[in-house]
Amino acid sequence: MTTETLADTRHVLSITDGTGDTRIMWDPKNKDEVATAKAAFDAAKAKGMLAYSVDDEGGRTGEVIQEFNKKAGKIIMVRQPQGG
Amino acid sequence: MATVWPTSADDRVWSLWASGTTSTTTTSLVWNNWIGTSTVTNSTNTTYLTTADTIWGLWQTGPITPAPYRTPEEIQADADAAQARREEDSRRRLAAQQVRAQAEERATELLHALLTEEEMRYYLEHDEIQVRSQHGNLYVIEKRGVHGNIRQVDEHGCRLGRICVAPKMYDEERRVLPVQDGWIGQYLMLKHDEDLIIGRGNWSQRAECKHPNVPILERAAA
Repeated sequence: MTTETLADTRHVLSITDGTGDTRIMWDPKNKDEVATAKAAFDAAKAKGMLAYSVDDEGGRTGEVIQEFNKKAGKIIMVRQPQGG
Repeated sequence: MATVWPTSADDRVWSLWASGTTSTTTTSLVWNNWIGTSTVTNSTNTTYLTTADTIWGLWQTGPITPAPYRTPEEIQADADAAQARREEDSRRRLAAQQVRAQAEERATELLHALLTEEEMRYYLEHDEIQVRSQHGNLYVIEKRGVHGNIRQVDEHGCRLGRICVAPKMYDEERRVLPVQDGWIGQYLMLKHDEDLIIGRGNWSQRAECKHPNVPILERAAA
């Protein structure tokens, strides 16, 4: 697992937090990296966070996801919305 | 005959002033308390007094504990310690500001990476984010906090309403998320999870299109 800038790899999980976001990158062929990314995804989901799989090049396409998908290019996790 | 033992100078003087005025109490009794006698007796009470100096002293300063003597070296050491604390506070504040700036920079980078070219153009031109939602509605995320900063607009840009809804802005370590993370959440939800965010939001400033008869030029041009 590495934590680098977004442009360095295609598969990245960004979990928004007080540091901006925690980024976890993985190579789909690397089982350890996939397992680490999946564990982070599952932990964030367990806290109630929402996950969106989005287009690598921007937000043209995207969808809500419930399960970690190692083939997803970019996953962004955000906190539950609250009405003000 | 009752005997009143003074509990404090305040109590004694107050009781004489406020409630000790029996038929035989005179102003001289109050005066005596001020100037001090050892005992004052009337038909109701015998009141034991301390001296005027004691009463005055209690009112003015209370018990006096003399300050311990401190050498010039000790005084200087205290001043140095206070200065060191101030410097440490400044360093801590500066470090927190740097961490915050880095978090905002990181969140801004993530936000920019999300926007399409068209959205980025609008963003740079208007300093707000225009989003075509999952169900085809048009929203604008205003860059001013995350409370009440989303407005629904029509194709003319007329405001149809304002929504107050945002992701929780604290993480598990009770750190405040950068505001850009709030906009990211709003953007993603409007784009891919519209029912959820609209369902949780509170609406205000509902309005109708002000130019219903004006043709939509962008659509005509397309």
